[in-house]
Amino acid sequence: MGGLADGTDQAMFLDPAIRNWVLFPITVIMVLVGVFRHQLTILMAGEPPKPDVKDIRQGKALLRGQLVAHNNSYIPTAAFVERKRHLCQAYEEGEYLKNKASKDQGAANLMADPKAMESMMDGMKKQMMGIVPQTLIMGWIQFFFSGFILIKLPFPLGLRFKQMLQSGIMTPNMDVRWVSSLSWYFLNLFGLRGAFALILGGDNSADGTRDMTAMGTMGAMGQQPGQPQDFHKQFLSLKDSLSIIYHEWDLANVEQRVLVKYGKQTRLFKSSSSSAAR
Amino acid sequence: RLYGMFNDAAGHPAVAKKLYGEMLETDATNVLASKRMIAQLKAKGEAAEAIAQLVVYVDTHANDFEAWLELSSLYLRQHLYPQAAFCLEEVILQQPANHYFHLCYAEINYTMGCLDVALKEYLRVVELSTDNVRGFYGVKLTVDRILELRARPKKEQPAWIGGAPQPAMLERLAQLATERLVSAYGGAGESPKRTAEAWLRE
Repeated sequence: MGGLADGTDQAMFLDPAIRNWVLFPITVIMVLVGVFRHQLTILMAGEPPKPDVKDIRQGKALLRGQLVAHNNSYIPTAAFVERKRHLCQAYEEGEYLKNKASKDQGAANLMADPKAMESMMDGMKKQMMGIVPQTLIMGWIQFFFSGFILIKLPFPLGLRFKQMLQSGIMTPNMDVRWVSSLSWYFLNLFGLRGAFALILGGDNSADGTRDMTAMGTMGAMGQQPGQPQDFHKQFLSLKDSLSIIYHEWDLANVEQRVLVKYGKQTRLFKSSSSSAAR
Repeated sequence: RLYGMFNDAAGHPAVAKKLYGEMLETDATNVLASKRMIAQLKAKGEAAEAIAQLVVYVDTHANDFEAWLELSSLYLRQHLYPQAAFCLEEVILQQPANHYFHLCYAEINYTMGCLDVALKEYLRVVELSTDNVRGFYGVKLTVDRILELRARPKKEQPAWIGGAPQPAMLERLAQLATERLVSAYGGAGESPKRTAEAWLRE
């Protein structure tokens, strides 16, 4: 092992056998395991739970209210007023709600709704699928491939990384750029995401980094999208926003706009159904 | 499954109906089956039943604008204009920029006699799609009728006449409509052109 103590380029010759027997196998195995995981996840996931008729009705009623609020300027005032009155009343009484009786109880208990249970179980299963292979591979690499350096990183790192990346080899002088196989595993973990996207299509389950972020957020398991949404509260808030809309019919001065468009008059200021220009 | 159904519907409606019923029993949200059943009723001519079922469908799937459109046409066949107008308003809410829907809405209003709404909607059509011949015809007809209504004594005028545009503005609109129609027919053959001009001059 040549090399100067002050960290200029240390030239070490690595056995090419290392390259053949460690570098490539680790990569190949990670790719294979990733694909395997992906297929397994698809097998285990099953179909997403089909929404009930009442659920659909709830959701669509909400959408309809939002549409009315958003596009209200395109329908005549009378029509809008009628819809507003009807929708506000319906939301107030909880007419579109799935369980009318329970509308005052707040968000349903998560465990009580069987569908929510199922989707939660699915989520947890997926996370298990993600964590287990990672730990397995890490352990396997530690066991077999420790005690020697594998590659030289092309970029310099700080000294603190030495402990992590050169875990098996205790040398005070060796550059941090020479790393062990564990770090190659980490490199692959982040790097193969692109390769998986190519092979398996965009939304694949072989991605290791996504599992790591999922582990972070699992502690703060708040609302999942979909089920526990409290529709009653949303209906009430939509009702409030509907009732304060000031309806201005978009077509109030359409005559002027048409005349302007066909070049019959120059632009005038807004005045609903007022006298002719000039 | 579905292919079997479509084949059946071509030849044996009773069998198809049973199949659709089964599909709906297993999965009440199956959009395809509900729509096929309604289409069958419509083809058989049972308008009332078709309307009833379509209303139920639309109650659940309130954002399917094609369903609203279908319901509107069913109502039109029964000459139930206010209901048809309501359905078309729903469609416009979802697709406010489509000038064809505004056109249908304008014509329904014209037929119902709500000429102020009709006029504005026709103008909207003409604004959205330049030189729309149907739109301009609508404008001209509505304007003529409004002017005629204004000329009548106060007692006979409908309630909304106060909000309609002033005669001067109406005149200008009619003039514009005539002009554009003449220019639109400019490229047509001789005989339609002559009939159109004869009518327009009245």
